[in-house]
Amino acid sequence: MDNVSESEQTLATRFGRWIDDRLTGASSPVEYGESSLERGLAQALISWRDEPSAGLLRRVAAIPHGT
Amino acid sequence: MQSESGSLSRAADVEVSGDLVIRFDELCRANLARVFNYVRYRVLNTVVAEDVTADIFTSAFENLNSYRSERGTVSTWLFTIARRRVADYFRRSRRSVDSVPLEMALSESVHIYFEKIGAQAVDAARIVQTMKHLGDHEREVIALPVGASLSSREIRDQLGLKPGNVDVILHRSLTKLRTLLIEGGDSRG
Repeated sequence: MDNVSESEQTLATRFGRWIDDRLTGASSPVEYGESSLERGLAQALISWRDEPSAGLLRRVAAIPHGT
Repeated sequence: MQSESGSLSRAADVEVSGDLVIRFDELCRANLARVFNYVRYRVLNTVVAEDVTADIFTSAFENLNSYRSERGTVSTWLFTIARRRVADYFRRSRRSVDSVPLEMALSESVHIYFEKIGAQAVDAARIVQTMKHLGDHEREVIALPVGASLSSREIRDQLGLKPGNVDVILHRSLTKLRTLLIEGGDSRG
C-alpha cells in the first residue's frame, strides 16, 4: 500500500479498533474522537445488519436433503 | 433430524479429513447471519443476497470434504467460498452494483441522523445509493468487518493484505463515503 503516513496509520488503527469494539460489544470500547461523521457512518452501516429470514433458514436447512 | 424451532437443525455430518467431522447444521448456525449480511452489503439487495447465500451454503455442503484444517478455520474457508460466489454473481449477471435494485435500502425505515452533512438527516437509502460510487475493493473492505463481523486478522487473511492495511483501507473507504455524502455523490451517474 502506498503513502501511508504514521499519523494516518495510527488513526486508521484506532478507527479499526473502534469498529471492532462496537461489533463485539466490548465493555470498555476504545475512544475515537477524530470524526463524528465517520463514527456515525460506521454506526449506521452496523445498524443495517439483519437476521436471515425464515425462508432463507428453511432453504439452507434443506440443503443436505437436496431439496 | 427435525428441529423444535423448525430452523437449522437437520444435521449432516461430513468427515472431511481424518477424525475431523463438520456438522453442517452447526456450520450454518454459526455463520449464516454473517455470510448473509456480508453478501447483502456487497450486492445491496436483500432478495439477491438470500439467493447468493443459499448458493454459498449449497456449495459449502457439496465441498465440505475439500476443507483442510491446516489451511485455516472453517469460517475462513466458508468466506473464501462466499467471496467467490459474490464475484460469480456479478460476472454471471453482467451487473455492477450500480444496476442492482435497492429494495433493501428503500425498505429500510430507519433514518440515521448525523451531526453534520449540512444538518440534514441522512437515511439508509441515501447511504446505500452513495455506496455504489465506491470501488469494489472498498465495498469489500466495508462488507467484511461490518456485514460479516470478521476481525482485522481474518480480513487480512482473506484479502492477502499486510498488517495494518485493512484498517487503512477501511478508514479511507469510509472517509470517501463521507465525502461523497457531503458532496452529493448519491446523485451522480
